[in-house]
Amino acid sequence: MSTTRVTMEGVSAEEARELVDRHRAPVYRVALRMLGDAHEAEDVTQEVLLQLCRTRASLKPGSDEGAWAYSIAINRCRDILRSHRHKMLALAPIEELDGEDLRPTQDLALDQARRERQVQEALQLLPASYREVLVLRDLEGQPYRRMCEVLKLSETNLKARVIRARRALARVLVAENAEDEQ
Amino acid sequence: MNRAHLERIRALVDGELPEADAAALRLEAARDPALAAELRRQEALHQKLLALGSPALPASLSVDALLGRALARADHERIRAYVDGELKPDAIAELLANARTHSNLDRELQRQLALRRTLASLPQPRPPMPKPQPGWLSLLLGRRALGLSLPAAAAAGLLLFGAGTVVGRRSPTPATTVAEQDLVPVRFVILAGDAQNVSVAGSFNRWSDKATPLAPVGDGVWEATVRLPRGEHRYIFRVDGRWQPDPLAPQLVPDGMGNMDAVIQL
Repeated sequence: MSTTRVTMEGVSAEEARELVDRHRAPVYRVALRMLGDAHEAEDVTQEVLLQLCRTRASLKPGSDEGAWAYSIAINRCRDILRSHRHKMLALAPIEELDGEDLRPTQDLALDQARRERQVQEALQLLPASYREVLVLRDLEGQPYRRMCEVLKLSETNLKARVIRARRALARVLVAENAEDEQ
Repeated sequence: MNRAHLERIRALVDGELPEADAAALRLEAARDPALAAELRRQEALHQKLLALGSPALPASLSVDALLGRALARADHERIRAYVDGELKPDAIAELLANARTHSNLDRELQRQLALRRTLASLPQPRPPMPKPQPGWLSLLLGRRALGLSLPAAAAAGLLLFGAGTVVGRRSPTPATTVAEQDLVPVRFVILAGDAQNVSVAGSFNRWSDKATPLAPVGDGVWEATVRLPRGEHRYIFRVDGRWQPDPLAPQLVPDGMGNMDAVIQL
């Protein structure tokens, strides 16, 4: 069907184009980091952008459009993750980490692609609630205030979750390093 | 290490800790190996995450590709809503106006309408015929049936069931043969200008748009005469592939697919 018609619900063709252009990259990044699968991330991006166009008119004036877009993307990823049987790592108790570190000197020897893959794989082993705060805070660089809106959490709870998520990721990376050494 | 330590480390990594507090934390870490290890670990992790590159967008996520697919999806949803009779009048007008200028949309719309009509005209399956039993038959046919032989009683049961068979989901039509003298000649007439193909689809021909063609009789008038059994019938004209409700019908009813069927009583 034609792409030139003005038939997108709720927004004009021009508004739809701007909306899509503004949000396609962050939505795709979040979906890719959350799901760890490029094809699924593409599908989610398509769905989320369609939903953004459909519901843009219902967004209150003065609302944070970015938070709204992230929120829709995160919710869609949660739905997908709930329907998957994702592999979860049995994490060692946090106390066992004391005295360990992430051996940055060894990491320097790793090439960038391997490092990225390692972190991405480690992210996939975390619970979705940890993964989403790491994606939004550490990979997307979003401020806590906006994250509170996206995740519907108080700032105190959000920061506590960030601490737990980062420690959990550190544990996964330490465990993977230990496996590599064996 | 307590929760306050962890919060201070988080704040340091997030760049929220004032310089003096950061220096104090580092000093404390110099005296506390566990705190130092956690601080080192969190800073290393932060660096790892920062170093992650931003994934490149695939070509399938170009603005044009995304918009094209989104528009196509929105069109399919509107067509579904139209076919299901859910679309509001202004949205119907917009859809039909778009269909007039976009052949792909029009083709899809006509395809879905045709599919819906085909499905709607499928005969409903008959309920399975219960095996005739003397007790069941006497209950069904009354006391006078008690004297029937078993084959005759079975035949009577078949007739009872057959008389109620619904041929189309949209309108019941008797399946029994109608005597010729009970058929009423009905002339269908429509003004269709320079149309190429005109037919009438209705409850009497299983909503087929091919079974009953109309013939041009001059001045843009098309007509066909059909002999129909008495009772209620519904119909709609098909003009060059488009459904056209009868503008002169005594009664029109929504067909649940966005069109109006004419209703006649014979």
